[in-house]
Amino acid sequence: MSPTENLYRPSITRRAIVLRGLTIFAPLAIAAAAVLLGVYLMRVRNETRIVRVEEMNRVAAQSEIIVSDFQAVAGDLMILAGGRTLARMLVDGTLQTRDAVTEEYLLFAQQRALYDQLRYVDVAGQEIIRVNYRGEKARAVPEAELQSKSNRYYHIATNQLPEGAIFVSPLDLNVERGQIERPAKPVIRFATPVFDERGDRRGMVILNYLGAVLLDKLRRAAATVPGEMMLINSDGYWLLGRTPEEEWGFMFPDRKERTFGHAFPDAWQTVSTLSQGQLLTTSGLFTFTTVDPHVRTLAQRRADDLNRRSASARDAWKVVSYVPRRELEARARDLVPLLVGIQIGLSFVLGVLCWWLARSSLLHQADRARVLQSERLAAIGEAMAGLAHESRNALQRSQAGLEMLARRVGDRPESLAIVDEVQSAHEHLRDLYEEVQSYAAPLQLNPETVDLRALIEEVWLHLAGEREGSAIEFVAVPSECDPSCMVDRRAIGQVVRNILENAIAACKPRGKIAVAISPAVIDGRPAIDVTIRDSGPGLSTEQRRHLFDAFFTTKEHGTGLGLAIAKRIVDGHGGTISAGDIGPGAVIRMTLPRGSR
Amino acid sequence: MNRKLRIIIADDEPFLLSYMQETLIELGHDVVAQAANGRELIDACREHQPDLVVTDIRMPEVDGIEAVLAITAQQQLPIILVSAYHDADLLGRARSAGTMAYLVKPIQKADLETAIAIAWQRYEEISDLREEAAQLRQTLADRKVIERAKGIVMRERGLSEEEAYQLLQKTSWDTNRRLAEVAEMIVVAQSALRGGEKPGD
Repeated sequence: MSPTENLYRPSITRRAIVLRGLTIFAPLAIAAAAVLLGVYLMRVRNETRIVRVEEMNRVAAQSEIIVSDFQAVAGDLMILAGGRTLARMLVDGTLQTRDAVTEEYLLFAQQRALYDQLRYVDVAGQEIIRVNYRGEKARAVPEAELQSKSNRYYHIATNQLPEGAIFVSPLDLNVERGQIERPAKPVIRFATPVFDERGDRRGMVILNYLGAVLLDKLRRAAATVPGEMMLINSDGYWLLGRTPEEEWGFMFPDRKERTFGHAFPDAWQTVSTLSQGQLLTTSGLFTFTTVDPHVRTLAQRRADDLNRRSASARDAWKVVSYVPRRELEARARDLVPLLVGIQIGLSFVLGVLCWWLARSSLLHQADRARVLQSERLAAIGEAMAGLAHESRNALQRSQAGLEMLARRVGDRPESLAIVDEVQSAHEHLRDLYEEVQSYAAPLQLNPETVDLRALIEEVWLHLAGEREGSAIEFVAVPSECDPSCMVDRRAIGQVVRNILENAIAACKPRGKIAVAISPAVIDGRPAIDVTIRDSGPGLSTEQRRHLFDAFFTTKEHGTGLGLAIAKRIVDGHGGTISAGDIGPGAVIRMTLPRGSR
Repeated sequence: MNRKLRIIIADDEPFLLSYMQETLIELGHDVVAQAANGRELIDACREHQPDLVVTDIRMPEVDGIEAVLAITAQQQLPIILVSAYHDADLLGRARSAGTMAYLVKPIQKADLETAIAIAWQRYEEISDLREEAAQLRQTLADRKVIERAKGIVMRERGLSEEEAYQLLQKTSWDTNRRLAEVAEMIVVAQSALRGGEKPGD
């Protein structure tokens, strides 16, 4: 590297690298995160697809269970209603045959273990036979305790059914003497009218089916898989819910709000209108199907088909499986540590890569800027040097004219004073040209080993002319520091000269200039610190900021280039020069690397 | 040093010529001629034989340095170059032309004054040295020819070395000629009479 190329060293701050690096890193990291998120979502989608199929099968199976259970109940009901013993009882009406029917019912209830009550009620609503099944034991209710059920809805409804038809009550909690039985006992009543041999309506067989049996089956089916199995009625009340508290809302005045519709408004719309389906909402996956609990005999079904009565128009239930979103994602979650690990690893690699990229791009940019700057400076320098040369002839004519004029007006002091004024302006202009030229001309440095202390003292002696008429003391602060340094003697001499000239001007008419040399380090290399302190008025913050700017001057006849040239030379040596802010007086501190670059 | 010098000045700018003329006269010198280019300068020097020349470098036709080379080939005299340029090339040419001073424009009266003073003093010193060297060379040559003439006399007349030298001295006095002249004549005569031996051998 030739000395002239060192004019501007690239200075890249860590902050600039980080900022540049982030502009590269951020999009890449975001893209990587997006890809990984895509992988995760794909996994979630795949898992969800599996869950969808599973849940559809499960819901279908559950509805099958309900339907087949109820078909069985319907079968039981028809067997009991069409029994020969019951037919005989209707004919002879003896206690003996009634007891025989009771015996049959006891046996049936005991063996089935499905029915809470098993009754025969006559047309008037009087219970004739009643078998209770409590605590896994069937028991016939004594005649004295039999009640009249003439006003109960099931009695009224069943009394109007044709032969072979079945009445199915809603599934609700059993009420005994106006109170909801505790513990809650869900019950559904199946009833069918009984006709005698002559075809006269005589009464009805009523089965109180234990809902707990069915609900337990559903509950068990849901226990082993994620999500919940629910059974809701047509109003949206839970018959089987996630917790016992939300079930049977329609039975309790204070639970009127506990409906599926309230809990999942977004799903309820679809679930309530379609007979079956599946939907994914923000809450999770809902799979549902409609179950018609109103089992029918073959005869009834034929009648229904003729009337085109749809199942959903009636008091139908919905079997709903609900898989919360977090459950859906749970299966994909095992991927998360891996994906996070990949993201962290990638980020690290990308980070290092981006740091390197940012650094080299900034270095390249700084290099380009430096090349441009030095090319620009060289062009300016050439123009300036040309200008200064050309101006020499003009300055010569001006100088010649001034001298000749001075001779001609020598006898007129007033005119001579004006000529003197022009002469001094002319000299200022000449100095300015000289300095501009030396500022702009390409810097050619020929480093050699120079004793800086001796150089400074030599320059001081040469400045005798500048100090004329003033009393300024020069103090070289003693130091053990080795004053030798690889620099261009002439150039650094000029730097020292420019600094000392300013110091002398600041000190006039009397003062002190102290020069100290101490070891230092610059960019990790050994260097020398030269501090020149004067006893003048010091520098303001503004002056310190612009001290090394070209054409900044506080002197009446200064060119403002002295310290700018100094800075250029010091920069060219790979050193630094700055104005200190610790007064009194001005302090200029120059740091030069000991070795040549 | 207050000697009045006869100076020739050269510059392609008439205004600067008149400035220099005025200034040099004020400094107590004579400007014997002005030249507007190198050729005029060479001619003027041949005609006026000046003590000193102050010349610009960049001039039409023949430039200052070429003119100086031509002039110093004819005669020794101090030269002061004045130029707006001072690049390495020009300085090298100026040095090899043996200039006494090189002033960079713009110059003032004081610059001319000191440059002329120094150049003249240096020139005189050099001239003295040169004269001294010429004398020494002459003495050496004389001694050589006298030795040879003495040898011839000793041989022809059968005299001793001292007697031969005395005879030469006597002849010198009698004929009112320098001893070296007499010796030269003997050597020439001897060579004419005897042949073969060339004078100065």
